[in-house]
Amino acid sequence: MTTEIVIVGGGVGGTVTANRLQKELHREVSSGDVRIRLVSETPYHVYKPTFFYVPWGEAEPEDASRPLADLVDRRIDLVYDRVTHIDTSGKSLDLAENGSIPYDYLVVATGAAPDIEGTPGFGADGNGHHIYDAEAAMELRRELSAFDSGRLVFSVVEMPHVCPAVPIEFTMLADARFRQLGTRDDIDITYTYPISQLHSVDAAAEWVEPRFDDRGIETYTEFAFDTVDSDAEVIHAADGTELEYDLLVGVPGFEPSPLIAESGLGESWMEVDKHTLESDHADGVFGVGDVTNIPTSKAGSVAHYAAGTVVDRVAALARGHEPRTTFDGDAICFLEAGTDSGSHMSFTYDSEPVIRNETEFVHWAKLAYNETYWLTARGLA
Amino acid sequence: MSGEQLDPNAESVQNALDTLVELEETGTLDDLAAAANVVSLAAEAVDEDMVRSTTRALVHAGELFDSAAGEPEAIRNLELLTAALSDTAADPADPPDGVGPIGAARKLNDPQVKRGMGFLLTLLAELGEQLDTRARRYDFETGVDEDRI
Ligand SMILES: Cc1cc2nc3c(=O)[nH]c(=O)nc-3n(C[C@H](O)[C@H](O)[C@H](O)COP(=O)(O)OP(=O)(O)OC[C@H]3O[C@@H](n4cnc5c(N)ncnc54)[C@H](O)[C@@H]3O)c2cc1C
Repeated sequence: MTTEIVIVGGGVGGTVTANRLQKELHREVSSGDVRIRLVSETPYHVYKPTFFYVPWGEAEPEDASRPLADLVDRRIDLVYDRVTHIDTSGKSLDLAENGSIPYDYLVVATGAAPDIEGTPGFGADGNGHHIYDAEAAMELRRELSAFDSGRLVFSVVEMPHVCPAVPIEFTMLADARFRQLGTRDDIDITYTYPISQLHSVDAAAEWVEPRFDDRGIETYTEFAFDTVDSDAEVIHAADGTELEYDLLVGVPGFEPSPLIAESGLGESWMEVDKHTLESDHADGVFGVGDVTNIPTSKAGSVAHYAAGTVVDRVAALARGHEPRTTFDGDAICFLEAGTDSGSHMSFTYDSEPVIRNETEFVHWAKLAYNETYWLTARGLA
Repeated sequence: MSGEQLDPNAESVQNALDTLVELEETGTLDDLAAAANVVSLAAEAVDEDMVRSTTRALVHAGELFDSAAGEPEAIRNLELLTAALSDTAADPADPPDGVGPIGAARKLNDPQVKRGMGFLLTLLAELGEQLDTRARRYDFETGVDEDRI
C-alpha cells in the first residue's frame, strides 16, 4: 500500500518541505511505497520578499514569481486547486474543483494573508499603501515617484506582522532614498508601532532607536489605529492622538486561511506543538510557516528551518520509526540599514538576538541571499 | 560600552590584551591587516549589480547541478553518451568515410548498431512520455493529473 503524503500550499514552507521530502524519501517514492503531492491554489511560487524592492524600482513583480513546475521535483505530483476542507478523522482533503484526496501524513503550509479590508485606512475606502502583493507594491512605486515633499507615515497597524524586518528596513530605506534624491529636507518621516517599544524583538528595538534618532525619524509607540479619515489624511489613534499624513504606508493585519478554523485545526492560527510542529488537534497533521501559532516571527527563514524538522519527522513516520528531530524556533532575518549596509539577527525560542553594527558585506549577503533563494526553494541549502 | 571607562584590570580587558600580544608576536596581526586591505579593496571594486548578477549566474548553474544530482541514472547515461562521443571519430583529421543508402541499410544489420538503435528508440518513447508529463505540470488551467486523482 502506498503511503500518501500531502502538502498544502506552494509558498516557502510547502515548496521546501516537498522538495526535501523527495530528496529524503527518493527510494520509497521510486518504488511506489510513498507518493508525495503538493496542492497549491496557484501554479506559481511567489517569493514575497522581492515585493520590498518593487516600490523603489529595484525589482519587478515578475521577479518574485516562478512556475511551481520549475521548482518542484518532477517526481512530486502537483495539483493546482484550493483545499476547501480537511477531514482530519477520515484523513482526506476536499478540493474546490477536483473532488477529494486521501492522506496519511499532511503538512499544512497555507501562510498568512493580509487583511487589507479589515485594516483601518487601507481598504477600498482608504488611501494607505502596502507591499504585500504585486499590485500594491506597483501602486506604491507610482506614489513614491511623485512624492517629493510632505509627511510619510510608516505604521505597523496590527500584530503579528509578517517578516519582522520590514518596518525597520522600509523606514530606513525611505530615509536613504530621499537623501539620495535630495528631497529628504522636504519630507518628514514618522514611524508608528502598536506596542510600547519600537519593535517587538527587544534587541531590534534597541538597535533601531539610535539609528532612527540619527536620521531624524519621528516615532510614536503604543500607537493603536482607531480610525483613519482618508479625505482629511488624518489617523485617529485610540488614545486620541491625531497624526496627519501625506503618504501612509503600513503593515496591515494578517490572518490565516479560514480553512484552519473550519477544519478544527485552531481557532485562528493553526495550533501546533512548538517543538514537534504536530497539530494539537489531529494525528499525522503538521504545520509549517506563517500559518502556525508558534511563538516566533512569521518569517521565511522560520518556514525554511521548520520545514527541515517536519521533513525528518514525516520521513521517520513513513518508514515506521519514532521521529526524533525537534524545532528550537531557529530564525534569521537581515536588517537593512538604508541602501548600502545591513545587519542581521538570529534567535531561537530560548535565545535573544544580538544585533551588530551594520556593514556593507551583510548588505551584499542579503542581495546574494535573495538570488540564492531559488536554490533554497528547491530544497538545497 | 561607549561613555564608560575601561577598567585595565578587568579580566576581559586582560584577556583581550593577551590575545593582541599573541597575535602581534606570531605575526598574525600583520596578516590580518593585510587581509583587511584585501577586503577593503574588494569592497571598493564590487558593486551591487556584480553581486546580483554573479549570484544569479551561480544559482542557474546550481539549479542544473541540483537536477543532475537528483538523477543519478541520467548521469550514467550521459557518461555513456560522452564515452561513445569520445570514441566516435576520435581523430579530427580523419573523419569516417561517407555512407550511402545501401551502406546504411547494411550497417543496420550490425549487432552494435542494433543495440544503439534500441537505445535511441527507447529514448524517443521516454521523451514522448516526459513531454506529456511536463505539459500536464505546466497546464495551469486544469493543472491536475486526472489519472492520479
Ligand atoms: C514584503 C515582504 C517581505 C518579506 N521579507 C522577508 C525577509 O526579508 N526575510 C524573511 O525571512 N521573510 C520575509 N518575509 C516573510 C516571508 O515571505 C513569509 O514568512 C513566508 O513566505 C512564509 O512562508 P509560508 O510557506 O508559510 O507561506 P507563503 O509563502 O505565504 O505560502 C502560502 C501558500 O499557500 C497557498 N494557499 C493558501 N491557502 C490555500 C488553500 N486553501 N489551498 C491551497 N493553497 C493554499 C497560498 O496561495 C500560498 O502559495 C517577507 C514577506 C513580505 C510580504
